[in-house]
Amino acid sequence: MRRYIDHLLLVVERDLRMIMQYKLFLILRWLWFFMQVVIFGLAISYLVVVSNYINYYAAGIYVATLYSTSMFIAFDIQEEAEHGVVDYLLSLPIDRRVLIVGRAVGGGLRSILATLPPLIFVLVMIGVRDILTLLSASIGLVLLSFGVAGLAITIVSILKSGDKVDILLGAIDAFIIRLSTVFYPRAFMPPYYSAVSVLNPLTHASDLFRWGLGLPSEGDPIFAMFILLAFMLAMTSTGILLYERRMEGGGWT
Amino acid sequence: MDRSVAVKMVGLTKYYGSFLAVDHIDLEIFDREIFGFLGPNGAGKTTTLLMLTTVLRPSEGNAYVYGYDIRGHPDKVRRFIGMAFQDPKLYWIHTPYEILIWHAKVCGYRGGKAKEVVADVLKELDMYDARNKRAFELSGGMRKRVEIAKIFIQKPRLAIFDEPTTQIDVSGKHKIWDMIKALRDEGSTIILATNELYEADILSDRVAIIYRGRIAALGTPRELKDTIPGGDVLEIEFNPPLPHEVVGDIESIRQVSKVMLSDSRIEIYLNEVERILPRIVTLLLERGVGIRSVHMREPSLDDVFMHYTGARLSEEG
Repeated sequence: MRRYIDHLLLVVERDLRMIMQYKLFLILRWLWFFMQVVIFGLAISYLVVVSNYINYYAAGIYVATLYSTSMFIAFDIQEEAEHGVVDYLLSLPIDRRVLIVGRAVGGGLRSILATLPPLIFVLVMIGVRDILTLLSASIGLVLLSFGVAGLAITIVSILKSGDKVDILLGAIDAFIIRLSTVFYPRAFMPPYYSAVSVLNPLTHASDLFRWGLGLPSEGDPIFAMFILLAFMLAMTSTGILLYERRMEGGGWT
Repeated sequence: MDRSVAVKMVGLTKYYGSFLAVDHIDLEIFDREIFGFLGPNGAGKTTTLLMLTTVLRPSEGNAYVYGYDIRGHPDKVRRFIGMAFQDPKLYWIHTPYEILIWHAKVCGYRGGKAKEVVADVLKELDMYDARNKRAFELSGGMRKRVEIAKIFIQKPRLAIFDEPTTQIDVSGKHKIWDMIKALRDEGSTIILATNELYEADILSDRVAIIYRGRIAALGTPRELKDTIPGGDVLEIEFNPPLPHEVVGDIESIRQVSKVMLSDSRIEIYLNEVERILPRIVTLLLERGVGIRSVHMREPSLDDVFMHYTGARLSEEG
């Protein structure tokens, strides 16, 4: 058991260390976030009927940032595959399930760490009404980031192609963010958009985070937490299954 | 030598689509031997080794590493194995030190001990000064050394080196060969995949010649050389042209088993070379062939390869 835990921690540590080496990427991402909230969010809040829309927007855009940072592990795995590092990882005396769980956990955890400055910015801007409520909501954010990292591993395991991964992630990004409550409440969506958005983990993460911040929220926090937990479990287990089956044998383009 | 079996392959086979890369290999590798896998690029060496390390799944057959089969117990198999890959597996943004410290920890070294063993191996491979460069800043030879360093840190029970000295300079090759022998002396079984004849010859206790996915020959380098009919090779360089009938005349000599002709060189595989040599030289002179030089030599592994496969390793590899 000690051996499994040691290996899990090493895999997580490796992914954490890796994202910290993309310093420029992180700084640009934070800059993008601040500009998006301060310029776009503020400007758009004058146009919409929802009161204090900038707070609604800031919470939503943080969840979107967390999502896309969690997805970044797909590019790391893709790069690793192209450099043959996946073969190396598969040859190590590490249990394969430990390897994948470690990557999903590492991918999720590093996203939380890499988005800490935007998170702090949002907390300072909106304020914290109840620390326990916020901590409860944060669990949902952690579940989301782990689940998205699992989804990223799943996608890269299936496609085995840098170009295809780029295209698909772009497409998923467009749909998953826009068909959610990241930018707008369900009450303002056409009914068919609203119906789809209920299935979207970003909707539940955004609603939960807003609830944690004490902002008006459409969702039920318990239900949202349940959906995010289910998403995390489903994506991680699919990632484990596919990584083991599909990573073997190379075939990367 | 301890003859207990470290690795046993039973009908080990790998298809890539319809292409048969490894064709029903049956093989035993003994504990604490250096086993050479000699073959040209694309012969199936790396695919076989990747199946052993459980990176690739066999299409048919199985293999056992210290009693554990690669299909049923891949996690247990990998506890015995360390592999230095043909192409260094380094992520471009990492430094040799980061890569090796992490590898050392995965292999069970803790904090201070990990740093100590990594520093020792880096120094031994003349890589210590380059330890903090990023992988993309390293030369091909340096990357190769980092790849090999993983195994000297790990000291696995079964150490697999896939073409360990390609891109390495001559003095570096000798250093690595010494380190591989030392690793064996410390108790590891070594599998050495190579297309370098000299490397296979001087390092290996036994050699398997692999060609087009099959084991073409197996034995100690000496045994393999002795299997060549005649065993001796006579190389004669001449001033062309060589009259057509000369080859036929030489082949008609009972002790001659094979004649290979190139533009200005003829290789004759034969028995009783000391007795037959004057006869062949006389025959060439009588046909007006200008002889530039005559060499006699014992067969090389390249000759063995040629004998079993009909191709020259130096041309194939």
